[in-house]
Amino acid sequence: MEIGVVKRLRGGLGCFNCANWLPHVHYPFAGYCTVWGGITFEDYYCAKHVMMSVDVEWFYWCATCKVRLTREEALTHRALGHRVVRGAYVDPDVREEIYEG
Amino acid sequence: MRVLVDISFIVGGPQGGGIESSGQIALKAFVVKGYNVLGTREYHSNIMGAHSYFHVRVTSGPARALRIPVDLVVALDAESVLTHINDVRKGGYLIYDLDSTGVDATRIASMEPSLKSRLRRLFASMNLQPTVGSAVKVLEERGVKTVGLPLKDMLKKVSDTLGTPIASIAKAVNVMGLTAGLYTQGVSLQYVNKAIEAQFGKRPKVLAPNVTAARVAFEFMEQNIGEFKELPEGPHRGRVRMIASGNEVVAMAKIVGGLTFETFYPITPASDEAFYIEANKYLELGELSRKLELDKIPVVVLQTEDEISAINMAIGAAAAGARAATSTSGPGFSLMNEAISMAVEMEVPVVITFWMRAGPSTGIATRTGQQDLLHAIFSGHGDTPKIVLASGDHVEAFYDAVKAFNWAEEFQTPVVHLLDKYLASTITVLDEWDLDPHKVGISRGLRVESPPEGYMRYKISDSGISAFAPLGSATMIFSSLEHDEHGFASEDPVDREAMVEKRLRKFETIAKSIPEEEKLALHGDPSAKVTLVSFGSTKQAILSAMEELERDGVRVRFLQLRVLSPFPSKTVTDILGDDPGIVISVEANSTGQLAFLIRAHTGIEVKHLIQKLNARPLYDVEVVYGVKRILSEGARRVVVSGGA
Repeated sequence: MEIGVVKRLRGGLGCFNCANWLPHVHYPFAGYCTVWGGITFEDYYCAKHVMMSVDVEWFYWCATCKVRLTREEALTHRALGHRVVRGAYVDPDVREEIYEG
Repeated sequence: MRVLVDISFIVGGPQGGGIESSGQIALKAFVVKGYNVLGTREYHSNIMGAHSYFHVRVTSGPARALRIPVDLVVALDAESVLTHINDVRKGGYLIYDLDSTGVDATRIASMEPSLKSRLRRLFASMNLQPTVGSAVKVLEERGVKTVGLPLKDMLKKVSDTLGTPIASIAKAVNVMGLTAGLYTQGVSLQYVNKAIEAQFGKRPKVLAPNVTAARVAFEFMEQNIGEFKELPEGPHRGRVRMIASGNEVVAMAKIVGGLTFETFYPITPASDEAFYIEANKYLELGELSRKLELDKIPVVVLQTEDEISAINMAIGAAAAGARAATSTSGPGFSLMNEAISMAVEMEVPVVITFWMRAGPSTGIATRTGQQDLLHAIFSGHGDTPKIVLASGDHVEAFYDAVKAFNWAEEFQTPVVHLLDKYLASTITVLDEWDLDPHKVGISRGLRVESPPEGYMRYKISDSGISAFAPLGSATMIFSSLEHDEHGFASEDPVDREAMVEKRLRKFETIAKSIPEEEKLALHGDPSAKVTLVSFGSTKQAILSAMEELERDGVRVRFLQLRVLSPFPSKTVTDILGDDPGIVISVEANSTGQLAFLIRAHTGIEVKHLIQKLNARPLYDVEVVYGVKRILSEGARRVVVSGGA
């Protein structure tokens, strides 16, 4: 199955809770699939889906608060119902949207 | 008869989330359509994530000032809907992300806690939860037309249509929101596409997704909102025009004014000016090119380790004969104070471009203010008279930047060119003739390239000005210590008095030499009994307000101070006269710095103030409100608080 083409959630699984997916830093309904190497959407699903967890030491990302988290913090944010993911996707041309000074 | 078009709108979203591109595209679409535009960036100092917006005014007449409430708010995220809940007029439009309806203000991490509290109170008073859905409901009850865009589904459609990855999610989302917003104002897809092409040029990977995004949004609006009504073409349709920010205009002026050495330490809102010079820095040499066997020479743009180095290096370059400048804002200018004194003592022609922002201290680093007027005038220790000039708009800023170099070299003294963050970040449309590179010309003053035997750097003269020879062209001393005519350090009381008097005479020469019409301008009916006084970028809001007041039968005149040091005391006294009537100082500072200066120099007390203290731009409607309150209630001080 081609990655990133199934457009419906499957049994509560989707890019939104996939460990391979990085939601966009500002518009988290879209994001970057690190396996496919392209943009997919939160309600897409594919066979490469890996359930997101915070089991390992890592710097996670809270898409609700838009902050970087340690594993310990990630557990707290998760417990509060926040959307904790592996990281955030930043557009490669973000520099054009930020003022120099 | 041509219909007067006057449209104001806001595009809001997260800082770094595509607002810059969409604002620029919006401006370009209206310029291509033939209208005048004015657009400013209001952005948070956190670099990325917090709420930012582009505020635009489009008119068939002069686009002088921004205006609220606006006709349209395009809210790319939940925070933008809630932040601008009071900024859209009855009958106007709100475009928002349909999926953000359930977002609660209290859960928006980037939102200021104070704003959350205000929203909680506002919604609680209406028995509503502080959500985007509640805001939409409130706005609909106020007569605002709301359009919820299914941004996710629309972006999917863009992705499917392209068949290739979208280069930038933020840009595509912004273009969709913007196109939907422009649809409500009668801007067709043709103009949006032209603007997208103008914005992204020859970058097919960026161009294609955004053209597709615009089409998807336009089709959505056609299918869901109804008939599209095209805005007629504006009066400037078909003309080649330029859009530029205040930073860019000043940078251009410095290059055409002969700048060869610019220093800076990165600081908002000054840095963009130096970056622009860096990117466009080559001076055409003309006749000299054959002699030097070069077509052009670059301007040296140097990022120094701090502002102390920036001003000292500029002073060194100026002493060596370069046209030299540095660029900064309040905190940086504070660090430059000691060196400014040195430049006065050494009589070095250095230009300091001072972009004011909201202080004190780091204050609100990316917002505007006019709190540094007295700081600029009284900077430096030990009797340091200097020239301070303030520009009111882009065109003035262009010519003033060239004049600043001329005056610095003619009078061999530091010149502070006072501007502000609003002007720095505000983009306007200009015609070729607005910025004539030859209009001011270059004047380098009394200068000797090959100093004769016995040359004295500080020779006493009636004007207070001595011939300037660049450092290195002869044996000479530029000294920050008090000195004799040669520049040798001297504590002799006669030498000391002579040099203090020399510098004072020079200041008197400056006051006599600069024509009065360059020091100030009197706008409006000279016989009006209400006088607004101001300086800097408040000019355009005041001029726009005067038209409004005139329509309401209130006759006012506007005394715009352009050169604040030396202060044009006599002319100001003559204009305000023995019976000055009602004089109102309009300033973006709390201490009434211009009013203070007028009283200090003329003895005339300015009894009324309209003040903007919230670090947002001054709107014309606020000036109208302030004047009317002062006239009706005799209020001494009216603080206006518009802007999000």
